[in-house]
Amino acid sequence: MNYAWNWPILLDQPYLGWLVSGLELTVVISIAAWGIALSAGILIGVVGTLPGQVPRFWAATYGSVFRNIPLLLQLFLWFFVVPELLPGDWGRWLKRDLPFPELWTSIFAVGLFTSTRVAVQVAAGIAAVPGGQRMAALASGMSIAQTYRHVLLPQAFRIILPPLTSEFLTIFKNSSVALTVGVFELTAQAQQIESETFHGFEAFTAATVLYFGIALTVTNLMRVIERRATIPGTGGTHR
Amino acid sequence: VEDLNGKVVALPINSVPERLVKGLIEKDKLNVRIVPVRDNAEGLLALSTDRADAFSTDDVLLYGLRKSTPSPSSYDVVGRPLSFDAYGLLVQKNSTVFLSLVNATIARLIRSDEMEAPYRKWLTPLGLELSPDLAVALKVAAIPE
Repeated sequence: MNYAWNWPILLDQPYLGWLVSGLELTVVISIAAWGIALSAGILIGVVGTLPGQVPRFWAATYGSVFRNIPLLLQLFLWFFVVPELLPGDWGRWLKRDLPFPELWTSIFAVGLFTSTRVAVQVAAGIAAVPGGQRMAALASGMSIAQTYRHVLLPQAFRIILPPLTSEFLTIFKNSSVALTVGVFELTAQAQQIESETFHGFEAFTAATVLYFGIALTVTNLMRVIERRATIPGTGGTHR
Repeated sequence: VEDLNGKVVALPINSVPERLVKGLIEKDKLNVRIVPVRDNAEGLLALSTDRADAFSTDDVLLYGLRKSTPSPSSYDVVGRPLSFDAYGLLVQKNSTVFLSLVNATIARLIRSDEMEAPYRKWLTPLGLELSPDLAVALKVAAIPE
């Protein structure tokens, strides 16, 4: 291979600045999308386990819609199609007046996509709490809300912490789809460095290392949370 | 470009026009919002869905794009040329023999006016007449042997 390696180029401006701003955008998109994913996911997950057929039906519908359409396609639908379907002024606002429409759309799309995955995990966590506990809570006079608040959810969350960690890691990697609608996050910046300097190997290695760093940080953080959250005497997956 | 103050312009990501127009916007401190698009089709989409007021790329591409729309009369290629950039053919490093063959062939085609036929066939119908500037550029390109 006839390739002139040039690692120091990554430390030159503007390329270093591009990588840093890409990293910032990746973190911003991911954390914001995770906020949407957690809140919507918990809500839908709880609704899916409520007694009665109707809430379950709606939770399942939500789940199948957002889980069965590829993420990239969802992003394109939100970005290109939805503004055209909305009444004129709203669509125009989305396309013109909203600052950073690409960024908001990406956060929204990645957040909703991940929310169904969180919802399934929350529902599974609730289902994993022995059924007798729900009955006991209801029998002792707690309302449905109190049962979830004091008995089911605190246990369910502890059970699903490890899979939630994976989901949190995935959202950082999924945030790279934002580049397709023109958000200059980490992967897009690596591409930009490649097209300016023809040093794509260096640029993408840098992006890889940065993604890896994010993943390690998140994993360690979640491990600390898991350890702190373990109820003494119940054991946990980690010691 | 100056007329774009307060407007939205679509620019192809990682391209020469992108750098050029961004540079002009920064130089004149214009208030222009940029919509990054990935390719020409997306640029035209941004234009036709009113996401952007203008789309900037090579003039020949713009003329071609305009022709491909259902209503070419709704779009216009406007403004002054912002730069002159030659299109090139990429050959492998160190293949000098092949490179001189390619250069000589192109020069010969232009000299013998053979290049005019494809120009008239493909570019004239787009409304893109051979400008005096381009004619000079072609004369220069005809020099190598």
